[in-house]
Amino acid sequence: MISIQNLQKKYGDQLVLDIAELDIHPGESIGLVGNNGAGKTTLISLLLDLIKPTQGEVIVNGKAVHEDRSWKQYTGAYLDDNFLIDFLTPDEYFEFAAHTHGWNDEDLRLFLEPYLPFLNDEVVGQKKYIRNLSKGNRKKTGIIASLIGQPDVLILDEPFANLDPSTQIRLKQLIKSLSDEKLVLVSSHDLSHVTEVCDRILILEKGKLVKDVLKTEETLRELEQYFGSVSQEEE
Amino acid sequence: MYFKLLQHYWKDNARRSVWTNSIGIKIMIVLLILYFGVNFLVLGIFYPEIIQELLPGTDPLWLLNSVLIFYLFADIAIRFLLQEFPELKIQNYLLLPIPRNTLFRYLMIRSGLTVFSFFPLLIFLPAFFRMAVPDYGIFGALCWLIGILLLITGNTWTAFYLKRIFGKRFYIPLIILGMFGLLAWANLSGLLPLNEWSAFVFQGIGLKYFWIIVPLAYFLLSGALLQSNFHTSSYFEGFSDQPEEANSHQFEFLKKYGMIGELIRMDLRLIFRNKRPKTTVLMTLVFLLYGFIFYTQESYQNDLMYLFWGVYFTGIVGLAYGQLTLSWESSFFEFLQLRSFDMAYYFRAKYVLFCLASGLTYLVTLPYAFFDWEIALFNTVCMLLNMGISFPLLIYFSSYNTKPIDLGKGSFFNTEGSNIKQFVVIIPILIGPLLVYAPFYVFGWRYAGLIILGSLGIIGIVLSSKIIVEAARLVNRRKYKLVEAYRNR
Repeated sequence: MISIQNLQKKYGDQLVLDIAELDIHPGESIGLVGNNGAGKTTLISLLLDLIKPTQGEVIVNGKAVHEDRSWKQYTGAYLDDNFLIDFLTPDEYFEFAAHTHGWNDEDLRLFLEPYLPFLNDEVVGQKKYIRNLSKGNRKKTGIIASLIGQPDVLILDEPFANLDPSTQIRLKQLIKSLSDEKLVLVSSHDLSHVTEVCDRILILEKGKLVKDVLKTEETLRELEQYFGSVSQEEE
Repeated sequence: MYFKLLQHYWKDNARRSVWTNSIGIKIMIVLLILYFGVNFLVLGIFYPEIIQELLPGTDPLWLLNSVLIFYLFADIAIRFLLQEFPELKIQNYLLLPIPRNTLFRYLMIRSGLTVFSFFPLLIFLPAFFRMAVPDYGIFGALCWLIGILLLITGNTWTAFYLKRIFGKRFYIPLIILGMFGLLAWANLSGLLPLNEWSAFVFQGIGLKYFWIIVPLAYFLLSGALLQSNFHTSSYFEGFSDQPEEANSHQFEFLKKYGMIGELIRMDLRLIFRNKRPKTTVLMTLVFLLYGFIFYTQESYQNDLMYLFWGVYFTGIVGLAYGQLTLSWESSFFEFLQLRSFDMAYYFRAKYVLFCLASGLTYLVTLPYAFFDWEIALFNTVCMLLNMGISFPLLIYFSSYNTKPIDLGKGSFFNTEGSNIKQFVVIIPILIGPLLVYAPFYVFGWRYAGLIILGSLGIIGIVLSSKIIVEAARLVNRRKYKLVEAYRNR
């Protein structure tokens, strides 16, 4: 579904991302791990056509993301606060996102119902602007909004950070249930979360894809070993 | 300690983004400050001569003393409206082992260090040398000057206090202005001879010195009031933003108009829920009053001036707000980019909004036609020009607005988001119609000139949707640059 070939991104002379080949398919849930500066957010931004590749292109369903806009109809994403409109209330924000997908208010209400436990009482039905919400509640708002439009592709950057434990557990269940039919890509620093919900793990290091493995019982231990040895090398 | 804190204040200012602006903007700011500064200074220095000319036989110093009380009232209102108070600036220090009183006094000192305190000095210092010293002698004059400084400082604190109590409630300045009007009326009607009292007190300070207790009492009282307010709300939450309550039902009727209506509604929410765009738009409404100055003076009653003010009045909201299009959206630009709708929709909504605002200011300024019926004619032509040419141009060039804006900051002297390219667009918009019209004016074919201008506007309106589509294409080409620029907020 999404395929990448010879994708490179340079800032000046610095090569921040260099991926020779990568194919990902619906039904996969992909965990993207790596240390700071490994290129996770760069890769995600390239997938979403927010930055321009220095070389190569991202192909979704046979069409390059920068040429054809149709992927936007079936792609949901939440990266950071830049995806929120902070002077709206969460309800207004959901409403706006829903209308851009052609949904009416009733569609939205039916869609939101199963997610109400996820959102808690602090997000929906409040008279608070998003800018006055806590970090965790903002993240919840962004994640749920990215699901509006029932996307086939869901891309989340660091979704577990800042979430309370109950919500982390709910989010993991949510990602697992979605990844049966859809393509979910999650980046995270938290190895245990990623290995729990993802069935394919990509490790980025200094812009290169150094590992691409299917998850097994052993994966978490292997990952911990890998990042432990990286830290020793650096010392 | 105060010195250290003030040093931080200095660094805070010196490292502001204003100074990282392009050289063109810096020059503009300096020129603007110089312009106002020189104006005040000239007024201050030649004040006695001006009074001799306008009101011969009046003692200029007596007159100054008698209107001081009104100046001080207006000063409170202006400060309440425009001055930014540094309440949030001590959050970072609250956890450090610094006595709270030190921090509070620092806040009080700092609130006095603004242009609002320094500009009046440009008037009072010349008055001190030219009038007070000769009349009162050096000691009396010093008392007089100190008295005024005490009052100005007291005003800063009163305004700060009012702001802390009433917050951002918009009707407070109206109440202050209303009280001001009431007092002025009471004075004029002879009910309360405030000006005489004012003159009595200030002359008294200069001549008998001990009247200085009046400003001193005000100074101490306002300071004590402010400090007690700090004490009662000295916890962290007292110095952070109060949560605002959202009203989701505003502009509900726009929902009927599909995606365009939805986008206009969002734009209106952007304007009215954020400080910077709100003050920008509300200030433009104050500028509509310029007509009373210019339409009433014979030296300005000519076609070229009518044309200039026509473009200004019928376009002002669109011009002031629209010139920063996309910079306003900098905080959620990535979200917009991931929507499946075309940016042309977004621009279409902007365009409709600007046109509605244009129509509104056209109607509001229509009564100026009482001064000269042709003003109505000129304004109509100018409205067409704005709708057909100015607004499409602003929208087209919006993808060059690569400077992000923090929506929560005030707009007074705030150049964040400004760049030199905006002047490149705005100046032709204001001057262009004059250039087209001038030849017709010279030959006396006035109506032919207006018809040409109006037709240009109508052609522009017809072509506007094409230009908007082009503008959307330009954004799609430049979006990587915009995303990058807006990410580095």
